[in-house]
Amino acid sequence: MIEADEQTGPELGDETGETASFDDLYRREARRLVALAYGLSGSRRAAEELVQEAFLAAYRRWNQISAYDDPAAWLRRVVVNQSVSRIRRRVAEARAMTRLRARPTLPAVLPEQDEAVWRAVRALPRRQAQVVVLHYVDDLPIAEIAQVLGCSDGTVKTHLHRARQLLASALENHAHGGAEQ
Amino acid sequence: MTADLDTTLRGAAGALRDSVAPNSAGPPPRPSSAPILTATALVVVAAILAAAVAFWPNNDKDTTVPSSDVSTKGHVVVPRLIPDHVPDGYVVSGASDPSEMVGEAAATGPVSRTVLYGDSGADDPFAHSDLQTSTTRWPEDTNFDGGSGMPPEGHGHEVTVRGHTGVACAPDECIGEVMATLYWPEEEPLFDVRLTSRSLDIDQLQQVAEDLTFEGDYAVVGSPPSDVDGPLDELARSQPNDLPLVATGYSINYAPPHNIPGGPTLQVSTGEGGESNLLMTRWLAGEWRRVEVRGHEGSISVKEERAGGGPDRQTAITLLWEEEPGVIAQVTTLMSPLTEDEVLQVAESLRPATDEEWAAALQVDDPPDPANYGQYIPTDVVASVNTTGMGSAAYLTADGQLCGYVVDSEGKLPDVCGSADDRVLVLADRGGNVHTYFGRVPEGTDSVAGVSPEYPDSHPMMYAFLDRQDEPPEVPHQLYAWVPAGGPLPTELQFLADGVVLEAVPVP
Repeated sequence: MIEADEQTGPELGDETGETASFDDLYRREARRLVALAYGLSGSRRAAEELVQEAFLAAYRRWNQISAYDDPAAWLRRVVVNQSVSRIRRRVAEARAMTRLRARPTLPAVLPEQDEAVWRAVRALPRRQAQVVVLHYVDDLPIAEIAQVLGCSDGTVKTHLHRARQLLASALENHAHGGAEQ
Repeated sequence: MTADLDTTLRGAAGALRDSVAPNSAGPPPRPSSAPILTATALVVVAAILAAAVAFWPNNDKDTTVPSSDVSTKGHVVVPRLIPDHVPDGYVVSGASDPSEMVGEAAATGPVSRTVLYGDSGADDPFAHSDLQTSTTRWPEDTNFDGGSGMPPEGHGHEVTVRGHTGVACAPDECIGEVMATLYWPEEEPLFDVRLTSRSLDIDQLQQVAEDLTFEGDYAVVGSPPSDVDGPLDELARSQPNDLPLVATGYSINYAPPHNIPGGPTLQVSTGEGGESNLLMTRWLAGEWRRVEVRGHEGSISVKEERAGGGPDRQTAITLLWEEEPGVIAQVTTLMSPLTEDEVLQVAESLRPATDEEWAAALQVDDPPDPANYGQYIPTDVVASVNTTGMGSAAYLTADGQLCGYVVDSEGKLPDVCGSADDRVLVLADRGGNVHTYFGRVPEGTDSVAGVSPEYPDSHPMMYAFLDRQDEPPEVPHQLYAWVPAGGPLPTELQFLADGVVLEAVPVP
């Protein structure tokens, strides 16, 4: 059973020996995670929904999650895994649309050239796309990406290398296609 | 070009980050004040939702269909029963009772509404035609996975239903589904829809789906396909929020120690209900017969099933009876090798639990979280595979050592190592039972299958993990890890490419 402070949520020990609350983690990580999920899902609404669900899952298991060396890594893993399923994305988006009906404004849309980059990223094999967003959007070093994805540093490097090759080709084709139109 | 690409990606990443407003994710989420529904309990809820929905008859239909025992609701004291006889190798793995379930089910749990169809004029209304429609409305702050009612990724095949992306499962194609099943999310209104039938195939279910109408949250069949073998008369509808074993019932669960997801389970449940539940169970069970249990006439269904096309044989047994007027009791096994006699023994040994016994069962924790299973993989390996959710991992070092390990709720077990050429190495759990097979696959392998005496033609593994790295032919050190989920173990593993066996290796 989670014993949560109503104002700040449950607490955890961080690597500095100080304590931080669930809410601190949320404030620190939520925005980055939404960006991650957005890059992978292509849907802002779905991204927000997925991040909410990830934090809710963390909250409900806080005694366990807070004991991890890096609870944020657990959240990243949940979010990147949840973001790449087409069906889950659709359902998350449908839920989010209902929830967001009461919100007065929706976030802005990405410029077309940036949107094209993320479309190309989403077209990559699943693991490659996850590595790309973790590396570029979340600025994670190779070792931390490996930790999030549960694989070796070498595997991450391989995925990143191949992703770059595919992206270079895809974006070049896109540029040529755009120029011809 | 690389530098340009890097700049492009960093620019796009910056735009992505900038587009996410600081408060874009909303306020920190909070669950309702209802108690936590654990992952184990979610499985229990799903099983009970499927197995114990109370039905009432359509008044215009055959009167042989029993009515729901609405009059008993709220006036029945439901006992908490636990068995004195627990099968060898099983321990308490959790429990649930109304103090946990009512608030959760009402406040944050799913609400399902089902309609059952069959031949209202037949002695066996499901002999030639049957169909259940089910809608599930998920609460906004749910922590269920998105696509909640959908089968896991990799199970079933994607279809378009009423303009929505859904999943179709032929019998045995998806974990836990032995009937033809069609799932899809409806957005207006917002809920998951599921059609299930033994007699209709996927094409017929799709025809039914296209002609469905919604009466509130009930999915109602319009014109059934003309080629169905019998009529699809509406026999009963579930009453929302009248889910006896969930809202008013008690369940205690048993499983082997360190059980993995999808492993064997035994559950004893009690709750409000009556003859209508027997009808529902009869449909779910498909084949059943009457037995005497604890001095009552009960129904039992014994099925040997395999889930997800895997090589493991599991027995699913449902034993249900009316323990006393207005109270039904149920003993169920899933994916378990337990026999009918053992289940009857469990039932005959039931007695009211003491407060201390029940409190202890409620305190049993979740299975260990799978997120960090890969954390023990050394950083300098050339390949690795992590059976996320299944509690093991394997890796290959640069100097040619192929190693694996198991992680359970007590921590990491010692590494088991072999050479880089080993095809099949075995990891055991703390009890010495086989937990994981792992090894290096022949180059070009795209799947691994198991052969056992029960499944001599082999079947793809249910819980197999290949470190695919997305382009298997280019990865010379591709590893696999397979966690068999109970049942018979394979005697041989086959490594396949495009369905062709590249190599077959006896299991040590």
